[in-house]
Amino acid sequence: MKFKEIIDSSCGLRYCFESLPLMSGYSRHYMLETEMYTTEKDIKFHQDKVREYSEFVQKYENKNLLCSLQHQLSAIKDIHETIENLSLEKTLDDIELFEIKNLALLSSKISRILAKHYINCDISASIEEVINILDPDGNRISTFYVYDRYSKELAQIRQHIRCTKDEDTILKLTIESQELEIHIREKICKSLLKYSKMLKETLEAMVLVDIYLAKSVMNRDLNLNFPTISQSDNILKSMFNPLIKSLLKEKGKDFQNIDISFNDKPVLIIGSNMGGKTVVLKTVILCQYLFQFGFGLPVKEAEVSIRKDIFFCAGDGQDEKEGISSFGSEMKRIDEVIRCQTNGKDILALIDEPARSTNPIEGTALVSSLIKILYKKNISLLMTTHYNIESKDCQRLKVKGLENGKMNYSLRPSPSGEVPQEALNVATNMGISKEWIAEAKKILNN
Amino acid sequence: MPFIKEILKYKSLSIVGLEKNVGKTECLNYILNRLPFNKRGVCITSIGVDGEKMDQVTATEKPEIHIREGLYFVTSEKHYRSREVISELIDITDENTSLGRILTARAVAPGKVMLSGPASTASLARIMKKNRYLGIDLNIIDGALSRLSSASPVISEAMVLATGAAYSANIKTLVNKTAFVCEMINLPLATKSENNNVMMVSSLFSNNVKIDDNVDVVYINGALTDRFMKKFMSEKRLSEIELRVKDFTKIFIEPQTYHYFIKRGGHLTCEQKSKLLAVTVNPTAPNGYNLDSDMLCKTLSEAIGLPVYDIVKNKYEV
Repeated sequence: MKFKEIIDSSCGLRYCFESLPLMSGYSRHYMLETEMYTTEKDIKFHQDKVREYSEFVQKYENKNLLCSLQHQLSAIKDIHETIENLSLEKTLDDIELFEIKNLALLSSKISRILAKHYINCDISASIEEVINILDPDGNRISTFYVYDRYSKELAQIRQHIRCTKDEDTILKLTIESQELEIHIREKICKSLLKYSKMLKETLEAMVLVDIYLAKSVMNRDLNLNFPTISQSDNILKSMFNPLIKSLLKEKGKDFQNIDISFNDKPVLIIGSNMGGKTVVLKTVILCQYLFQFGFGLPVKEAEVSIRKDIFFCAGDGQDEKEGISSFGSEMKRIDEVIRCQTNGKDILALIDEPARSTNPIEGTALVSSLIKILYKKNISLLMTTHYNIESKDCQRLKVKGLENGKMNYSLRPSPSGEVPQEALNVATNMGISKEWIAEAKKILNN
Repeated sequence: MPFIKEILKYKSLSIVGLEKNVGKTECLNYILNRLPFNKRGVCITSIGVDGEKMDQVTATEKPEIHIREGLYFVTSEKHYRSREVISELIDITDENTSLGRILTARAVAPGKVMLSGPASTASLARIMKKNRYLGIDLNIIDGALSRLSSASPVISEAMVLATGAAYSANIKTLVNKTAFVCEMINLPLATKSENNNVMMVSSLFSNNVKIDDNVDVVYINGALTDRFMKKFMSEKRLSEIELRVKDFTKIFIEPQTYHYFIKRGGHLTCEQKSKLLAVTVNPTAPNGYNLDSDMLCKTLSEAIGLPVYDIVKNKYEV
């Protein structure tokens, strides 16, 4: 699964991505094309890398060094096609050679800055050889043309051009010099050929520096922390959703942080309407995604296990184009979880109020059977529902709900099956017309 | 060597032709051949495409832009690849055009190049700002055909105007039309005062604009059209109200309308203005019509109160 495929899922991942201060457009593109990490080795590797940069960020928080490094990184350009052309033994023109020279100079500069602070950004020492080829005068300035130093003959022709006034002679000499330049460029490209693989790695390394640095800055700015990698237990302590937190902050409100833990046993989240059940689900899925793409998590501390497949079935997925109602598209999406061939232990499924749009009798049956099947398959399941589910296979968590007229979003285990009946209270608090609520109460009492 | 020393006082200069074939490129070459490059970095750029060998519309021969050693130029990737000059690539910007990215280079030996600049004034302004960091002190903008927008004070501090027989083959009409453009360029600057009661108006939606009694400045947000000005003239307090535009590139009115407006006591002012350094003329039109150069220069100069030059005929020394 690529990052770009999940970025617009409704859990607030887009907000996190937009908060990531990537300096170059190419890094952004690279991040979006990144595949999800599914091994402990990969995740650990990337976490450790970001930690190295975090130290750097903390140390130079108020100094120009961080800014100047970011400024340098903004010059990264997507030149993978140029490098590809080089490796295919094509002759590059001045513009392409300029790009390669720029990349070489930039990476050598950045790797020197980082080396001073004991960060190794995996740039080969042979990059200096590339620079020497493209900078025969040793000026170390990021400009390029076929320098006089490449050929004595070329230097002579150019000298002629400068001394002549006659236009036709100038044109003739210019064409002559251009032919010579072509030969020289061919030579340059031949000598650069063996470095093409190294240049490709250098470009990637530069992008990774940008990404690691951006992630560590984001960890600091959004207050994110790395979780420990666990085998089965998932514990998220003091978890928050950055998007919703920022939205609430604009209104002058606080986000109430949530603790949640679960393992392979299905978890059923019950509670009153507007109790934040969906927010819990969205934040858990956000944490899982962030974790598996090497980001820090919006938690105080956490243990998270690695999954190969992550399913998130939420909201109203009505699709008129396919002629499927909200119920139909929901059923199809949940069915994907059941049909998934991956080992159940490697799957995390989060389902928001399944079968909500059908009648409660059949709905309850659908949900109960779903829990049973997913439990048998050993799939980690987090589900919210308003139905009364009598099942021993799952762990039940309840949102505390209204307490003295104020909503308490914290979760606590709830051994009994009864779902709270607070819908009318919540509606009254919202200021829904009294006539309607009184009528509903009348029917309930009968 | 007229007006070269004047140019050195400014950081940006645009060269604008009122019509095709009025000698804009000749004027540009005249300036480029005479400006000293040793002390200041000079860069030449354009809006749109310029420097082709044949005129694409009238199929007449066009002068090419000559680049001297040491001159910086801005062009697109495509035209850089087909250049006839030996040059050092300095910078590639992120501005994209249909001809590729825009880049800045410096000539190492003399030669010729096609210029193609960014398509919008906003990106041109960005490139010019970036150029300053590359050690360029003077940006010269070669405006595209009959486009005054590159001479907008937002972009250039100073300007040179090229006009000629191609604009009108009748000396009287040519002088009148050119003089009107000069008059608009030299509009008085707005007198800013805290006490002014400014009313913002858009020409487009001004059919039923009612100007309140206490308003003393009407600011045109966007273009000032002929239609708006005619409507505005029926205003009772015309002589008490100042009509203000952003700069002369926003004015699209007929000379007669303006003169009537002034006669009725109206004031037109602008917020920003560029300095008009000189006017050059090309007495020959592409259809072969030839005007008397000396008489044209003299009459035009008298009409606009600025020096007027025929740089081709007079062959000023380099």
